[in-house]
Amino acid sequence: MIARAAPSTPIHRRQSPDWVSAGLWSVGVGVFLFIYLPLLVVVVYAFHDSSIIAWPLKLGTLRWFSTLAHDRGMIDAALASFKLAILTVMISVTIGVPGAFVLDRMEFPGKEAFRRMVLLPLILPGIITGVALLTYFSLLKVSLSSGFPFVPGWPVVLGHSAALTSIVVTQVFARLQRVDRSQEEASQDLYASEWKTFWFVTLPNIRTAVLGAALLVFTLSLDEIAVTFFLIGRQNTLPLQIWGQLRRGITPEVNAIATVIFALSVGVIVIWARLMKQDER
Amino acid sequence: MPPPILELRNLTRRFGEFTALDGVSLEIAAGEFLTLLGASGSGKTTTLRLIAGFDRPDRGSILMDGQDIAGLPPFKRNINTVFQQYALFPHMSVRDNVGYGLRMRHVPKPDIARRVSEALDMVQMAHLEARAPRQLSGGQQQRVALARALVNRPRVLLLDEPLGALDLKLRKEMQLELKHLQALVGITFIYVTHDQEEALTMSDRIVVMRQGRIEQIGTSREIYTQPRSRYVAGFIGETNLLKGRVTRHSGDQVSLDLGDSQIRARAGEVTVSPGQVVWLSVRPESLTMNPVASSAELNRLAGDVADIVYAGSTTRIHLALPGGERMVVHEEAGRVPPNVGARVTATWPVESGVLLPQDPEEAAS
Amino acid sequence: MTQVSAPTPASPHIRRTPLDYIRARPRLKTFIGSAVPVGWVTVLLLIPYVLLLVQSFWKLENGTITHQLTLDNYRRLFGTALYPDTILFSAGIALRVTLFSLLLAYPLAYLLAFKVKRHRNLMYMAVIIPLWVSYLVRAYAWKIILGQEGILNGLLLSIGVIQEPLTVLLYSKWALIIALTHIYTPFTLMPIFAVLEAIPASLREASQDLYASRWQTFRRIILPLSIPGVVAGCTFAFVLSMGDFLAPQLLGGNDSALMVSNLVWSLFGVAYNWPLGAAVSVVMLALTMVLLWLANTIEKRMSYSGTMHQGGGEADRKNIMASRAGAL
Repeated sequence: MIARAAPSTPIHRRQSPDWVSAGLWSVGVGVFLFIYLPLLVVVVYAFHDSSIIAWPLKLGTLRWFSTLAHDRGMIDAALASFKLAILTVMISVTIGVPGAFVLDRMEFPGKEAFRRMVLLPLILPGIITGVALLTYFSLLKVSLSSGFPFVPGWPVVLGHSAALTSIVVTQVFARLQRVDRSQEEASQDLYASEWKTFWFVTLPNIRTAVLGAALLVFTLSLDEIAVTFFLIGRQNTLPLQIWGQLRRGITPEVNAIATVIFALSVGVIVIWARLMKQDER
Repeated sequence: MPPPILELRNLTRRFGEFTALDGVSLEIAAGEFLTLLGASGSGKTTTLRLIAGFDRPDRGSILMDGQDIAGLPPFKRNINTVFQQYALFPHMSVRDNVGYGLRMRHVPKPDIARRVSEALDMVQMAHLEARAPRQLSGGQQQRVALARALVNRPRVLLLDEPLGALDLKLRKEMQLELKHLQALVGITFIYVTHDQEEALTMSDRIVVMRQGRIEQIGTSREIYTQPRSRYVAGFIGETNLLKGRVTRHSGDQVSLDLGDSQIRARAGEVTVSPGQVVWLSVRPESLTMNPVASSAELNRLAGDVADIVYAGSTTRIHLALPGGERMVVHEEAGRVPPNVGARVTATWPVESGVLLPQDPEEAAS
Repeated sequence: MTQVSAPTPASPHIRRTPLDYIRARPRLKTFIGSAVPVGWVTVLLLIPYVLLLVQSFWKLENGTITHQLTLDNYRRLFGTALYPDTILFSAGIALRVTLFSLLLAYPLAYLLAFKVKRHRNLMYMAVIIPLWVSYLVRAYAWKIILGQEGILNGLLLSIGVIQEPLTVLLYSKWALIIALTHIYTPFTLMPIFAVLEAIPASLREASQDLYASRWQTFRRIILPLSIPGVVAGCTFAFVLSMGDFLAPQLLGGNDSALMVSNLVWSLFGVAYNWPLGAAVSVVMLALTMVLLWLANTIEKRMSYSGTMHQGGGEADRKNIMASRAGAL
């Protein structure tokens, strides 16, 4: 008999002191601290009870948030930014989703050029896209304030949309590449027209990618400075308003607005992470 | 019997709630071709990973030449692995892949060159040594993976479903080739597969695993002709399983009551007593229909032909028995099959039926 | 076995609609489908970029731009020490930022990819979160920390290391380098993490099985296979920090650490010399293109994602690219 019962000999899982892992972990923790401590400092100083940011810390005031709530310029800028971001999302999704389909499914001469051109604003420093669009709109003699107060200005809306459409295109395109095309063929085989197939089969497959991209575009538009800088008309956006404050020196009000933005960002990320998780299922 | 090259003692491995391996003990002789056979989740790959050192057992020990190696990292074991998806290093040429292990062990350069060339010759890949893995076909990658492991002259070679990714024809060729190669180099092979036909073709011994335990160990012939459980009988090859109650037991002779008919069988290694419920396994190729000459040593069952499937060398005839059970009979090509719906008699020699006990869990319920 | 499997009788006539006319013509279909996205890209990206290039050849006379082609702007650009010097200085800053980002990002990416088993996604998210947090906030944080009355000075004063606040902390190129490293480290990490995560466990096991120690496995398997991610990450860090013009103004002071983007900014702003500004932009654009081309070549040559049976390398890169946009 080859197989036989042997006395069991317990083996403890070997855990010799592992200096490499310990080193890696401490570096990792260090990098985390490097990334987060500065952000933490901003948040903590938003509750600092003095108009000079200094040592020692006197915590426990909300007065900077109250200053913020009464700052007409800041509120107008925030409203303008939201309006701009929503318009940007609408336009870039409208253009970007078909753009992704064009990249995924169509063949025509110049397609490669189209692909590169769509991606260009992602790759180039934002300032180049900014000055290019500034040149363009000024040659067209379009006023940077045109459309105000309905929109913060058509040039800046179009500028954000032009720069951020690439986000929608890349995210949706990446998803389309993973979509099983035979599902669509099955749908057409079962008498669904192209539109019905898109609506009932393709769209559900790319839904989270579109939503995720929209969320990303929204956040990026809210935070955009490089293009905005050159295209903004009469009404400042939130980042430009903050920038103006910063240029005048450190004011605790900026810490308060930064804290608010930080909290909102974390909220958006949580939603985004949920979307991505839904996706894996 | 010489001392075993490798001995597994009571190996247990749990992943959370799931027990992948439940007290497996096994001795492996030097130079043998041993196959671990089982469905997915049976613990065969876990066993292999424990032997290779990619994982550690929760309990038990692994003795190689008498030394416990269960805690050693893979690079300190004189054991090599051929991975399921080959795991060739994509950024190295075929030659560099094969020489990797020797370089890591600081073998002198001229020796590396010579041994790599020999290994590549052995698997007939010398002409492609400068290629990158991605430029090779599946079969070629497989050969490189084999050479990469064998060049190190391991005490034991582990193969984790190495032919699983190949198409059927190539797989059959490689099975024979692997078998020949093993005989040539004389290295102990531990081979994991879920393909019972592959196991029967190649192995000196087969270990049938199920739910983290060893179900049966034996040569291919033993496993096929003398399965010791209903699971093994059903897993290896095709079989007809008949459930019956023991009515009489004298010497080696057992009489069974199937409900509407009586049959006889040999007890073999199974101890039975009257009243007990047992299973009888009858291979389809042992069955014959409507034999011309009658013999006293035949069992007979009547049934209706439900389906006739032509399968080249044989014709498979599905019978519906009066009790509702189904039976499959393999008729050799050349005999004229009956028509669907015809009433036939299936017969088999008494000694070709294998008596099997009920599974413990089945007996309990 | 009755209605379900009964075939419908042969249809006598298929009705064709105008849509079927288009369906039967793939070229027409492509044209209609691609008209809007292609038109959009042409009107809002291609033409503006081309115009920028054209403007770099225009003349500025008495404060007005004349549409007369000239090479003057480029002559002035390469003839005045300020411009080449600034470009070199920017490249130097960007290079250091790239190096530091890599040194910080690689170990953390390695840790996340191989050492963290539970909560890996959560920890990865934690690294990515700062990318979603306002760029300005991230840059501004360093002003609070490094300022003359900032936290670092306060800390050093209170423990008595220094007697008077240091003024060199802020408005130096090191302040800029630290802040940019802080901002761009997550960008560098993303592609490195993506390639490390794509390396199948079996490759590491095979290496160990073939007698390689952990260090040798890293040196010979993991490091070479992660080069495409390293190149992508470094490209991000370099291009983005070179194109940054806000952090330098905030932290680098007005003269001491001026980057090339600041020149573009002032040429299009206060200096009102758009043609020269366009020329500087075009040089930046050309440098960026060369760099990206170089990176792409290296990545392609050293990319094995297809053979590591994970696939989707191209799509992954694009996704990373999309996330990279955080600093637009």
